[in-house]
Amino acid sequence: MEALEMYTVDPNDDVYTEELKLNLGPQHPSTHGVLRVELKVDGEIITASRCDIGYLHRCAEKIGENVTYLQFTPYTDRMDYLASMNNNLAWSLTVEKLLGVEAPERAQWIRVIVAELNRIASHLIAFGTYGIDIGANTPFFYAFRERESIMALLERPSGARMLYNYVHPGGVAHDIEDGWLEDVLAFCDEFEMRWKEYNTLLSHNAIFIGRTANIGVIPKDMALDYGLTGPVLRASGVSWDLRRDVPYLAPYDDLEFDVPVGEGTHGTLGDCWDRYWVRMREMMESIRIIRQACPRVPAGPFMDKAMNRMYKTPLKPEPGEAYMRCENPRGELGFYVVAEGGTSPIRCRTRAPSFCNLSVLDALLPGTMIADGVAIIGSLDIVLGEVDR
Amino acid sequence: MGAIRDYFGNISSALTTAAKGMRITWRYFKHEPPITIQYPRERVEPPPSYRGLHILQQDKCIDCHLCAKACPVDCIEIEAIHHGRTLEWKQFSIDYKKCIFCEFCIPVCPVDCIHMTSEYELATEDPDGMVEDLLTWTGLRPEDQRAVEAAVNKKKGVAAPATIESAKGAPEPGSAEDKAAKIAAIKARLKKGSA
Amino acid sequence: MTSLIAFFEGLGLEGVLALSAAYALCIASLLGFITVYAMFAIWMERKVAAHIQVRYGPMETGAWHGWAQSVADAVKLLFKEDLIPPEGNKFLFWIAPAVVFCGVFAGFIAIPFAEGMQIVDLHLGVFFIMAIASVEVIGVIMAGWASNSKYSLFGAVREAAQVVSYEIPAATALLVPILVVGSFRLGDFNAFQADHGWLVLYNPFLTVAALIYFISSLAGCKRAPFDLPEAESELVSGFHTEYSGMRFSFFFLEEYASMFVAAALTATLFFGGWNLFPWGGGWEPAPLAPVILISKIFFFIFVQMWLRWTLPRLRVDQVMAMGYKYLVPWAFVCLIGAAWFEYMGWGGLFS
Repeated sequence: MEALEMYTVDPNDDVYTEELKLNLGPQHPSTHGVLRVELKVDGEIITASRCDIGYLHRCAEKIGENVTYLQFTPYTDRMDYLASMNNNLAWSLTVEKLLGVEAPERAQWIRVIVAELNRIASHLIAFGTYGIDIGANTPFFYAFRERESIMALLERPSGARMLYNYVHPGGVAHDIEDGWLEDVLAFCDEFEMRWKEYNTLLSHNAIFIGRTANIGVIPKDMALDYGLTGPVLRASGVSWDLRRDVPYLAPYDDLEFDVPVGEGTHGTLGDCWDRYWVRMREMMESIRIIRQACPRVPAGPFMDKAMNRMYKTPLKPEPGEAYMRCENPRGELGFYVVAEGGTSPIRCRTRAPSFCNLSVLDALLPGTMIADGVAIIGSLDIVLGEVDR
Repeated sequence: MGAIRDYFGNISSALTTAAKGMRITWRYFKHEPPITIQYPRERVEPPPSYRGLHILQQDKCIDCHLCAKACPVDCIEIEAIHHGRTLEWKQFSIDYKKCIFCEFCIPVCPVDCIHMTSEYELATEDPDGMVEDLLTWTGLRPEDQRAVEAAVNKKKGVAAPATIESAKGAPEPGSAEDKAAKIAAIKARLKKGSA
Repeated sequence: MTSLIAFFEGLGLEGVLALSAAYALCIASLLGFITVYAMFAIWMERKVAAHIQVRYGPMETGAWHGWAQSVADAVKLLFKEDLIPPEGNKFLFWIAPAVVFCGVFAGFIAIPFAEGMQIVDLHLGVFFIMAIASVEVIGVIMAGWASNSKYSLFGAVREAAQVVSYEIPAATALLVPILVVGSFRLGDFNAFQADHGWLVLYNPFLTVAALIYFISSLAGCKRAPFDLPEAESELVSGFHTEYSGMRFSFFFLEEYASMFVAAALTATLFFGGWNLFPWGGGWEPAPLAPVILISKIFFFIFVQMWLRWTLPRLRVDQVMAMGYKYLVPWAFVCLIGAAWFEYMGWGGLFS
């Protein structure tokens, strides 16, 4: 903001430079998909910006009104495609709430583990691509190596590597196999070591801190005003995590974990570095959760017996409505469903965290440089599949 | 004074953090072997639960259309003429341009005749070639056997969830010996797959 | 050069003819050398990047570790369609890669690989290389302007600002060894270091000057962490976004060639040139000299690559701040300090 005040375009000035319109995207290496940002720049300094979204609109919500409740699960995969498990989970919980059923205990614990694994995978992408945005290419490959391990782990129960379609209403699609939990724990040990490496390589690098600290500051009030959620909100110093505050899965009550909030370590509270660092610490918290959860997965059914019917005969909830929200890697993902008694909902609405978090971008960009703009977009960690749905 | 301290602090932090980072990249350069694989020559063996291309045991299929109805993207086309109990097959095809590999066609099948294999190489030069005719099935190949077996195991799991071992590694009381052997066999396969 | 002219005169050519033949041979061999070197350096860059990033890099082209990948790429670039933006300035667009390449190419003339193994033995060798390398900026600005693309223009302006700024610390840092040796001639540096050991160890100011020159040369070569003119994540490809095919390959060639020149200057002025050991030398057999120098050069090229795949990119104002607030003052401190040491007659570590 300071830069903007310092640098206003005045045609009567001695040195008058014209404003330039710059199209950042939709085809641009660092808009994380097909986001288009119309920038007005004065030299390197952005004076105004306008977000243009919708390039990836696939009518997901309308499709939800035309397929059965179960059939919509794979569509939720494709919203935030980096955190499919969490999306499945949110949708399944919504349907379960509508039906008034609860998944068996074993399924709940498995859900916790897969959701947290996927949260790590998603944050790893955020970390890796953020490195690329800032100009460090190598951390991306290290992040992908660990993400690959997670994908290999999640592939074993679910059968897919990215679009899992694993968490279904009433439980999970398949049981975890013998030895899987041990492998998950082994991954946790390896990941802890790698995480330290990431920090030495990128998080604490002086150039990286210089590029991200004090950039794109979202004060607490602003974060609340814009309805930001997830790491973006927590980085502004608001300790709000649905897993702790509104535990949507029973095991979260029993698990011990911290909710990392931004501390303004290298500058102002709520800057890009804080957002980045909250994500990094959340990965470790997820590891902590997984470590506690793995030994506690009880024996028992992984799918509600009555719900198992839904594969053959579509679910037919009683008329009613349900809204359920989950803590996704990117923030609060909510599904709102209105049932009228048929096999598909008459209204299906998604509260996408990326979409809401993106809304703050236009307020952050003016006054920063183009390179900062890239850093800010990266720090919001949006997935365009979810923004546009 | 603070400004001067910042000035020298910046110099030293820039140099030391760069050196630390360089030490890590050097270690990777020197010591860590590549983790990528040389794809066409080396391949990842997907786990038995992998959701790849379908196979249809057409002698078992009863033309009930349940899988087509379960499909969220309507990619399955089925056409057959019933001559009493025997079927004259016209068409059973999956349009892989549409298929999202969600697996919903598998659990609905009342006779367990459609399965997903571990085949994951879907690339083709011809878009029309992506409509796969599943009627070309000529019997179970050894690699398909595994997928069928896995599918059957899965179904068993759905039917009898109580027999699943607890995660603490304590064997479930009353589990048959052959079950343990089966699990060990799956484990061995997995080990091979992940290597 | 003189010996080449003599050689051609011996073949029966006279005066101007012998001179032209000698020059033609030099230019042809230099072009060949740069091309082969650049191909190798590109392959090396890809391999270094790949192994730092736990992957293989090119493995297929050519039998052994994809050694022919750069050759294949060069062939591909040769046959690629040459796209010229219709709205752009065609003439400038056409000539920019040549201008860019010329500056660096000319720099090679003055580099001595061994005693007498040098195209022109300039008395102002260091000065000449510094001066002629700046021509490149003009080409980059031409490219950025003629592309009629905003991203290209941003890249070009960034390049202009950056290279002009970093020439000050680079030149000042180079003045330090010049002051100690008392000559601009590159051959003299080798001779001096044979007697007194590597200049980087001669006194502490020279060590710092070596570091400053190396950092400034990174900026001059547009290498990370100063790769702002290209800045893939911000400006797509910066000034060469609109270039394709052969013209693009000239920018590529230029980058690697300028890396070579910068590394050659670092090696010759600070790290002993063709003297193998830090405490001096002069005893190395003459045929070994180019091998020693080129391995040193490749070491510095490797360090440049290593840095590139480790560090994030600076922002444009940080680049300027680093140049003017950190490197320039320290370069002058080094210059004055070295002058003071020389005045006091405090010699080097090994002299």
